[in-house]
Amino acid sequence: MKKYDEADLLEAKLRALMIAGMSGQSGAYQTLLSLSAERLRSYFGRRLVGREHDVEDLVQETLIAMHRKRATYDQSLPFTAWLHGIARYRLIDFLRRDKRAVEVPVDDGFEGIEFDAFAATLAKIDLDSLLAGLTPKQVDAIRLTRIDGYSIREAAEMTGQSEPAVKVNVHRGLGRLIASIKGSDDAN
Amino acid sequence: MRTEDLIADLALTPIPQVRPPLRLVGAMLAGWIVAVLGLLMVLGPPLAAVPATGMLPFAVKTAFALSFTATSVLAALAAGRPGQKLTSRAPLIAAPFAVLLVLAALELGSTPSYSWPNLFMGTTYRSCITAIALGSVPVLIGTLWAYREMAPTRLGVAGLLAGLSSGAAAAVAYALYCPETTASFLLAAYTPGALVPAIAGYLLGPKLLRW
Repeated sequence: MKKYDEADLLEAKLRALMIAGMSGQSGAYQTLLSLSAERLRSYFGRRLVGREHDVEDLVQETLIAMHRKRATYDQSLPFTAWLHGIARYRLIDFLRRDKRAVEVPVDDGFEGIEFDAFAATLAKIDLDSLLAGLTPKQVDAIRLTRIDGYSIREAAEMTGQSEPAVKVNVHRGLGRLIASIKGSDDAN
Repeated sequence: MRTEDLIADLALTPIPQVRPPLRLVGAMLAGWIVAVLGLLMVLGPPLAAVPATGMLPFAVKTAFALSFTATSVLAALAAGRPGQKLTSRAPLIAAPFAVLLVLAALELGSTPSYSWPNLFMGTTYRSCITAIALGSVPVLIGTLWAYREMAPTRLGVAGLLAGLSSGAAAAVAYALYCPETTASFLLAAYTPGALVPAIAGYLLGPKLLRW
């Protein structure tokens, strides 16, 4: 149950910072914006993998939106849900403007806090360097079906590839991955 | 611009003075006064029908329209706050209608079936719908203007609720004139009258409420 306590604690801190910020304490408000930026970076980063520039643009847009609309925050409601609502709205708006027609899950909330994010980042590091040698389509296909746990069909819908293409991309990509792992083993 | 610099800039701006819910209520009230003035010019002095209908039908109409307005405004405000669920607020709008349904059922039970159309249609059906739909126009303008301070994430729903609030407020104004006496009539005429601005709001929301 520790995880939930941490989430509650973080929420309580964020809410306290927001309330302090709204009463004119700019230091508290600045801390809140920095913490929010971190959360937003991880939220957008997971949905727009490999598009750091877009992610940072979205983080800034969302911070500005949050700032402009800060009077709509109701102090009796969770800050995290409010921030997530704004982030999701900005993400949908971004995807609508975006020329690449990729589908990105927008309905789920923020991921678990610090520890989870930390562990996930840790686990991702090796994976990212391994996946770096593949084509973007192969990366998407493998990431969705083998890492995020979507079915071939869901992955096909999300990437716009056909189902056979997803299968081929997973197959070839994994083949290259195995080859590259073997290669690095040989090099050692 | 670096994100840290942006944050530092944002943190230095003064705290907002505007309180979106107050502004919304204020703008609705202003629009409502315009609507009442319009009714005054077209239909003459208000409350002229009350001696004929009696106090009770007038009280029912006004209480219905006021509670309809209050619940719609609460739902509209919830739709303008990111992260706030509508499921706890929006169903409350049905409450005043549920009361009317019970009253209408009682009226139907005590009236021979050949007279039922009179219960629903009265004699002023069309003028009632027209008055509410037209009266809602200034309210809707004020509501949508003030609503731009809110942060709706579903623009169609937000527009719909803003429109419904405007229609309900226009019903409060028209209740000052309405010569009908039955709850069945309120259901049959006030509801479509208020739905006109609700549909308009639903269609306008995605265009006007973007942020």
